[in-house]
Amino acid sequence: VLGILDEASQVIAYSHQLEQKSRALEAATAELRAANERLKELDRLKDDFISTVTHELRTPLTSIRAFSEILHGDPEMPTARRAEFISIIVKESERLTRMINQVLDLSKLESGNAEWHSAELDMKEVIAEAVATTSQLVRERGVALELELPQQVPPVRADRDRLMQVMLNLISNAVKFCPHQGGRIVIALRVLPDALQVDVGDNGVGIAAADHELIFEKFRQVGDTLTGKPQGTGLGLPISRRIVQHFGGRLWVDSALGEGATFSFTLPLDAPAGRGDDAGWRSVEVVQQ
Amino acid sequence: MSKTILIADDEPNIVISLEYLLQREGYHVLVARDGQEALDTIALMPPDLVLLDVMLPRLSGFEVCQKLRADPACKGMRVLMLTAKGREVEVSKGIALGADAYVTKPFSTKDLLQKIREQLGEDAG
Repeated sequence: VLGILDEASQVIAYSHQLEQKSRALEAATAELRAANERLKELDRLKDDFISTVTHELRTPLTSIRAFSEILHGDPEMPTARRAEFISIIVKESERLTRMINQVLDLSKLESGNAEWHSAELDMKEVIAEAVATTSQLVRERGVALELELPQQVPPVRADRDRLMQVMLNLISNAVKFCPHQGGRIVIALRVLPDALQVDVGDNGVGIAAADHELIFEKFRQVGDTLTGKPQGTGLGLPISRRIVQHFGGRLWVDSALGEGATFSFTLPLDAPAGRGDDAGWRSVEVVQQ
Repeated sequence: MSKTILIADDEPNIVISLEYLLQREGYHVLVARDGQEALDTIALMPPDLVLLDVMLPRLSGFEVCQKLRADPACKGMRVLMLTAKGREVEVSKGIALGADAYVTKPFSTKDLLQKIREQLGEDAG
């Protein structure tokens, strides 16, 4: 009898164990299912991205092809018109090139394979060069550009070319959305206790609050109906945000519809990114994401 | 009398190229930069054919096509959809919504003109 009781209690114990195992298995299956859903979602996002990239690349290519064929089929076209069409082909080719470069650039930034150079640099000097580079564009659009720079600015450690990329992007965006007459851009540099802050403000059409995060998404261009479709790639802001985040800073916009927009970014003065070697930088990026 | 074609596209350079191409072929050309403008223009001056881009601001090409097909006043109007998304789903969606033909961007200008002539019943000439 004892033997039977013993066996019975053993069976009960086993069945308890089994129950526990089966519960653990169910939990593991649920986790796997959730992970699988997340992977599917990522895969869908990737597909969407590829489909969007394809669409965006086809657009300039459509103009290039159409105008090339028109020119090819019409050797008698008047010179002025011919020159106009050729200049469109050139511009659209440049846009296509820019897009391809930016798509590659963004994918490098996102996969963590971007190359970063590090140097101690003077943000005032970076701003001055960005302003000089865009001065022709600013003049052409009749925009008044003002600088508000403090006397003394502590140096930051960052990648000069990458910061220049951010500055050029913000300035050319500001110019693009300035009113056709009376456009005004103010670039301010401020020294905060633990960071530098750069503001690029314009008196353009502004951005509705609902779109403030949208514009940092890939290929999202806002304000199409007000300003006509911008000839951009829709990748400038997402790339700029990635770069600023890499240095431990933030990039954001303050704006209301009809009241202009101010894009601001910070660069930490004593960021770990400023000190570490490349491996250290990568770990900073992981924290940022 | 020359036939009228409405170009509904928001890419300025694509509009310039299509406008030139169609005028060279002797068509009367109208232009709309978004879906709503396309409907407004059609209500004022109904064209014989609409070159309708899918990705239009305000009202998409699909929505415009649907509205046109629901409107008895636009019964004979031909709709040729243009899309930069080469996906099969896009094509079948356009056709299901009542588009008469479909052209993928970038298009061959020769093929596009050929399709337009077919739709307008001019290919015999």
